[in-house]
Amino acid sequence: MTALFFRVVLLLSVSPLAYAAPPVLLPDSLQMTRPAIAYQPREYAPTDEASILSDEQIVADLQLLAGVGFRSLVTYSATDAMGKIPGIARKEGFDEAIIMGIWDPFSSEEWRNAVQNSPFVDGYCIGNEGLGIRYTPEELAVKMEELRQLTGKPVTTSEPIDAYISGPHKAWLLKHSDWLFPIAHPYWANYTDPAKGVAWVVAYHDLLVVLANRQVMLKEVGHPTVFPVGFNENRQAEFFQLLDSHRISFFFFEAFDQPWKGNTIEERSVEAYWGIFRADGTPKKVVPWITKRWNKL
Amino acid sequence: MSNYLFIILFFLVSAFSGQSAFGSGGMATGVGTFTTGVGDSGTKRYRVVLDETGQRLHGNVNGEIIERITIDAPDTDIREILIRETKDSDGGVSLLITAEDEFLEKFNQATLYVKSTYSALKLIESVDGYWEQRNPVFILLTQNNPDQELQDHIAAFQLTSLGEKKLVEDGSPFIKGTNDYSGILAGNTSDRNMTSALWPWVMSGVLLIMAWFISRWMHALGWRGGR
Repeated sequence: MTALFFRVVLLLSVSPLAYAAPPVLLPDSLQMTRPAIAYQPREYAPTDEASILSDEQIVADLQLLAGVGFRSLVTYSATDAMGKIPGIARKEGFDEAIIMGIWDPFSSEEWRNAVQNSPFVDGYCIGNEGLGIRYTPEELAVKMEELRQLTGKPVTTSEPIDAYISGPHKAWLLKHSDWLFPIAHPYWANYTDPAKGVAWVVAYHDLLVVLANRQVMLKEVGHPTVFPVGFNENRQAEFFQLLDSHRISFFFFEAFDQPWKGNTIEERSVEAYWGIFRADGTPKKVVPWITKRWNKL
Repeated sequence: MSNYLFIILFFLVSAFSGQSAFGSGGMATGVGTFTTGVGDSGTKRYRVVLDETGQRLHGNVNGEIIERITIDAPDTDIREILIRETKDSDGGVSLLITAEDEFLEKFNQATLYVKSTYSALKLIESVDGYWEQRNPVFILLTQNNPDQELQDHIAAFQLTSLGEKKLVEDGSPFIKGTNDYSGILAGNTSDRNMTSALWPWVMSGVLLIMAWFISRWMHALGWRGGR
């Protein structure tokens, strides 16, 4: 008996596995079996007060995306008509993960729309690349907890993926995020080649999975198509085809080109051309592949 | 009987201890070879137990060169691989990653995380008999002060297969120009499965059984001669 006791003690003292916590997986409501898209409506410029978004425009956009095979989406704001997107998306066939974005954690309008849409929403993402800039960690933590209590839904935020591994807020992000929802764009890490860009995404994704011992869902992964030299629609298609082979949970970034983004800061004008559809709604070269890939299932 | 047995075993062990365990560039260290970190001159071997998180298997190697590995191998229950690290005389490193056949059949891709000391090296892996180059993805692990040089980092290499790999310097003859495809014929790459890695163990067992039978036979002969 004594020998058995000492063997158990020895096993516990030398085996790190004995102390390993079980991995944290995505909530069931966020598990996706079909492709997911980061959605900002066409023909709408949030920076232009004269720009008005109609329900009809949202319906047309979502019908287009559902036709390609998308069943999950993430939004970025809950102002005006964008606050209606989750409900419309459910009607248009988006039957997997719908994640509602709240751009400004302090906006009462966004807050109200977010809570009202709770029946259609699987999770909330408050803020986007603004931690320590537009809001403090303390402010965001309070808002995240409040929304959690009000809706009973998982709540997270989004930052670039390196912030989860080495950034000053990494411990905060791991502690306060109900699920990890980082942004991973190899373009901003100076990777232009699709294969190398995918290797970059996978390397960061896998390391975060290991370090956090949590399943990771990438909020944005994309490849611009127009600017600068070397980026085109063929390369975008190649990028997504390669990425798809790696079994990573991610949202295609993004649905439509957003010309208004190119008018904000000149050196970031590339941001206007990340859509898988052009601004006029015509498909880029990756779209037929997505349609074929997912309609086979 | 015991004298015969001792002589036979001594002979077999002496002969066997000089056999290559598997692959190239290193000798086996006999029974117990795959205990973590065991090795001889410049060669270390690691038995890596894999954990599963979501769609990834991952193992903490914590070797002299390799920090950890993540693997995408869907629908397999196998949870261990073997890794051998061998420091080459030219400053490079030879790696051999092996697993059971069933695991290899399910293997999709892997990412190898190499310690910062070796992050200046390029990885080349054998694909269809040729060496292909993989450039590292550098990932910072700590960021002490934005004004200071960024601190600790790790280098990640994507692998399209298990088996034989090399970490080589830029000037290595394995790397020509900036192409990712070097075109140099690789060595024998058929030794990536665990069966070949465990072959010495199996053979040692077989030889021991043979030795036992021979000793019994000789003992029986001696007994009859004595009569």
